[in-house]
Amino acid sequence: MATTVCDVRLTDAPLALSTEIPPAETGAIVDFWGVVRATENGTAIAGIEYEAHHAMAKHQLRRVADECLQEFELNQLIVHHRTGFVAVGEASLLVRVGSRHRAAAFRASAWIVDELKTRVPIWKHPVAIRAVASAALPQ
Amino acid sequence: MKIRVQFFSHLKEIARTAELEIDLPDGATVSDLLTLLYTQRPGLREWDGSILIGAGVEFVARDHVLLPNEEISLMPPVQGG
Repeated sequence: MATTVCDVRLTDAPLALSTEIPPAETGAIVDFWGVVRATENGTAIAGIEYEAHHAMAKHQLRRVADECLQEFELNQLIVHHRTGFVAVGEASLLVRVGSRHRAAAFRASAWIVDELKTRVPIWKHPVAIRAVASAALPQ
Repeated sequence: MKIRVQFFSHLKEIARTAELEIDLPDGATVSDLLTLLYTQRPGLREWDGSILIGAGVEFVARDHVLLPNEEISLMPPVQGG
């Protein structure tokens, strides 16, 4: 049985992928980056403040990841979600899925993003450009 | 028994607090808790159809029987990703 790597976390640091070699028997890797768009409902924004129920979000994220590993027989799953302020253009979500074959990797990547959007207690608060500019002014 | 209630996202503004402590009789359910909260903070009632309930780190249904000192979270639909 191949070694399975699962790394799930909430973090307030910028997201990045490690350069580690994937587990043996990995034949396909799909990376998904969720990125903060420049507008929200037609209004230009500076970024999004991500609020989380931390204890519950970590628990539910782990549960979703465990289900994903089992359902799609993955040998690698990385799910990192930002909390706090994420500026426009930065990533709020990183998912890396590794499996023996590409079909499972593609399906698993889409599945876990859909699931975490309905089951992990995280909320978005768009931050207006004006609000950020005011905060930067000297007092 | 005392129950600790936490509010998240815009429910915090509607409840005008991030958390509070509520006294309920033994055997009370989440539904009983919501009924009491809606009388104290009527603005929350408008969100009744979409409020998610957490007990500790698990989602629970409205017939969940509350335990003394349980930590209950009231949350709007999640928006991660």
